[in-house]
Amino acid sequence: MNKCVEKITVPGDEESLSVCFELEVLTDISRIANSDTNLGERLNLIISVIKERTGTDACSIFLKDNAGENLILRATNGLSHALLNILSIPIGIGIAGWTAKEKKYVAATDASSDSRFFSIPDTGEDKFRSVLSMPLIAGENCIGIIYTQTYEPRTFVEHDIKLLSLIADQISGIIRNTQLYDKSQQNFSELLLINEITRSINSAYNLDDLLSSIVKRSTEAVSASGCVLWIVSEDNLLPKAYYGIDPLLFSDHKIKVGSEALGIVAKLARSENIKNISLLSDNAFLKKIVRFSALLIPLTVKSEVIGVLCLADKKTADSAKFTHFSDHDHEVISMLGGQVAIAIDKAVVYDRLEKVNREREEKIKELFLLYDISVAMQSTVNLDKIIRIILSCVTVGDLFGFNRAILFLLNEKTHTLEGKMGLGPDSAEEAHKIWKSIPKITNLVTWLISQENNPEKSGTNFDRFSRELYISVKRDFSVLSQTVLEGKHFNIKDARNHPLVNQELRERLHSNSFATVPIIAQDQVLGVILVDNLFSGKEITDEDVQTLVRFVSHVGYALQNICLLKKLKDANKEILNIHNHLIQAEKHSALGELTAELAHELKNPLMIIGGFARRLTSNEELSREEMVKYSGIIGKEVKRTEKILEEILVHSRFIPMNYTDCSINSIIGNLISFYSLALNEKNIKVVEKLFEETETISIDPNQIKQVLTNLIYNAMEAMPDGGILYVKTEPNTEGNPGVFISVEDTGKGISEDILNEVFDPFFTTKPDGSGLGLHLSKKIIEAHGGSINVRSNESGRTTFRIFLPYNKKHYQNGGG
Amino acid sequence: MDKKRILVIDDEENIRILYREELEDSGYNVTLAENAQAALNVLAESRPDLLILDIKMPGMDGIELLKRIRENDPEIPIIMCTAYSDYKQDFNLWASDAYIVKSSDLKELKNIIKDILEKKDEQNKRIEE
Repeated sequence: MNKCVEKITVPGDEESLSVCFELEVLTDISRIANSDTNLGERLNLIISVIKERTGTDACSIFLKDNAGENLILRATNGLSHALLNILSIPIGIGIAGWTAKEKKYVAATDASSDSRFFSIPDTGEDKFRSVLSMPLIAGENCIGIIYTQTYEPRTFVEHDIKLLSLIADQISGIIRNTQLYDKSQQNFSELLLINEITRSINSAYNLDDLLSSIVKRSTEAVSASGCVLWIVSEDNLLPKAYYGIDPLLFSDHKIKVGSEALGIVAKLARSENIKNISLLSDNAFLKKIVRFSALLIPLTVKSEVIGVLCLADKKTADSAKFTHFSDHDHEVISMLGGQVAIAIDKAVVYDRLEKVNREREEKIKELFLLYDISVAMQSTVNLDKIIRIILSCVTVGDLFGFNRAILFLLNEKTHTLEGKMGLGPDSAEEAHKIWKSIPKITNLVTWLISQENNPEKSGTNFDRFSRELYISVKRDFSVLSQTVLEGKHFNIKDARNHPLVNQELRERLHSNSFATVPIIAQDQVLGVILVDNLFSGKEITDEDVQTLVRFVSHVGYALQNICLLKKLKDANKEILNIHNHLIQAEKHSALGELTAELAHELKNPLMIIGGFARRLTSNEELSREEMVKYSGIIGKEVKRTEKILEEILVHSRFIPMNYTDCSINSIIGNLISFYSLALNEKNIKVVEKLFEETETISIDPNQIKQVLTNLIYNAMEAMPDGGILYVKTEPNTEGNPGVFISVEDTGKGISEDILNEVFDPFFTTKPDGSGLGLHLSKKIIEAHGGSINVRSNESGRTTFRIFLPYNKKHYQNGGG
Repeated sequence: MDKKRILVIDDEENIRILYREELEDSGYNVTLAENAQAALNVLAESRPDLLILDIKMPGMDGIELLKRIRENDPEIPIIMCTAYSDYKQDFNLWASDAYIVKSSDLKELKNIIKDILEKKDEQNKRIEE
């Protein structure tokens, strides 16, 4: 087909010959142009045809670059292939540049002497003498040139010019279309890519996943080597995601907004395409992560910059080396950046929502748990069991899961924190064993109740250790004492270096971090709970402590109730004890024992006398012998009885006394304190009115205590529903120097007819009373040389008044 | 029917005499012992039908004696007799058949003795049958 020029010989018609020739050329070119191969290949084929058809030695096609400022060599047959895509001639420079600028052809027989000639070194063009340069026009624009050259000087004729011009026309449209087509293909595929990326970004609601997806996709979209995403946080840029770049290179660096290239991008919300990183200063941050080129895009939402995306080191098509990011890449990433910013914003909001939801869920779980715990706690009124339940809750999984816990109660009288119970494994091995074997607790209540009866938990070393702990709240200045005094919780993260931690205690605890929470009810601190995570080493967060504080606030009330109940029981026991003591005391007092003994002694003689008297007066016939015998026995027994009575009289005067100098007020004060709890429990208020003592009094303190105890006890019995106990001491101002002690109650009162008998032995109004209390008291007072009397009225006010002289005349056998 | 034999243990001589006079009048055969040891000696030789023990005695007291006797003879009727009222609380006395407080009127004592001996007779009859 292409050799028709040789075959057809139409005589003389040179024009039609050239037309035919032209047709052939155009046909060839047309075919090539419409083939499916890419533009580069087609151009190569075309210029081969051109070269052959125009009989030139070199044919090249230059195309304008995107900016339209340079002509880039795109195809050549004749020039060095090394120049392809690299040789760049500015528009207007040289014959080529002139052609493109003026959009007119240049036919230069002697190229180097043409005024427009511009020598470009290393192109090998000095081999060529003549140049025919034709602009490629598409529409109004010049899109490039066809540049043909010959070794030998050649004068280009009209035919040559016309041919090349036709060819230029032919191919410029094709080139233009192809360029447009390629461009739109690229645009389309890029839009697809952006769409796909956006969709995949939006499918990740988890912020971390989202950010990872963004950096990866962005890198791939523009063939970069890697990408880092920074998020703005309080005037700093913090790296949040990365791809293809070693995090160690940038993780330590905090970049302030406004400083460094990154910071400036963030501050000004203006993107930056760094084509050559070496242009930055030597200590520029970016130089650490970028080797050649970088693209910095601000991420903006509602005109607020929330972050910066940095793409590094674009790879060439063959991945052989680095190149700079094109304007196109810049556009693509900018578009992506917009979507990314919105997606991040959404994800942040979602993240916050999720967090709020999670917190709410936690709170609800906590409420249910607290309810369960309350139910369990109400199942018992036993203090130990409650403490065990509390500590079990604190050390069990889910809600708290602290490794170990100790509960202290505050002893109000001695102001010490006493360890009551400790729950926790003794060693790491034990801890592991327990964690492995913990059954899933499906019903918290039953599990808790079962814990109170769990024998293996108590008696562990840790429990024993806990029970030995005593911390003085007033003396020691330490975490535990402060917890009580300030009613505040403490979260000690580094016990070794904490000023408040008692190092001795820390050593015994072994743990370097622990928390203490006060147990409070009605503004009163009842005790402390101490927790640690010795075996798991898990950090105790402030949030954990807050949750514990909330839990303990519920515990406080239950604990207080039980403590009060226990106190009540103890007080009751104490009262019973006092009661028993009194009875025993009365029984065992010197006179008491004697009395019992004497009673026995009297009963026998009485029985004998009565028995034989009965026999004597019976209707039976008795012999004279028998009558004498019985009468004799009676007589003897009577004598015996007389002796016994005499003994009583003697003994009643003799009570062994130990006199010492005492302060009567102290004795009374101590006594009142001793019985204060019991009095309090019985709702009896004590009013003390003690005079200012100036001297001591010589008394037997034990005996006087016995007397006062007797009076106080009687007063308590007289006021079963509560009342007031007045205790008064005053000096005697007239007569015998001494002290008056009065004990008065607001109780039942004593009726007048028995008022005189109260001091009689064996007189009692109580069913189980011995009747000796007041009698003995009187004996004791009289032995001291003092006196006692009683006043009472029916409306209910009984007063016992004792007088004790300072100067006791020590009688061995007497008193009064 | 043989006369029932009663052993009385009390440290008071005149009480022993009174018991003997009264109980012999009621038709019983009375043996006296002045302390726990004497009582044990008697018991070693023979088995009385009923014992009356005083609690408060010098040396071994009545309760201790009661235990000793019960070790060897869980069935023998024993009446505890004492001047004290507060021994009523002593649970050791459940081992005895009755407990009375000494008084000059021995009628109550005699009634109790009669009841116990009659019950014992019935018991024995049933065992024999």
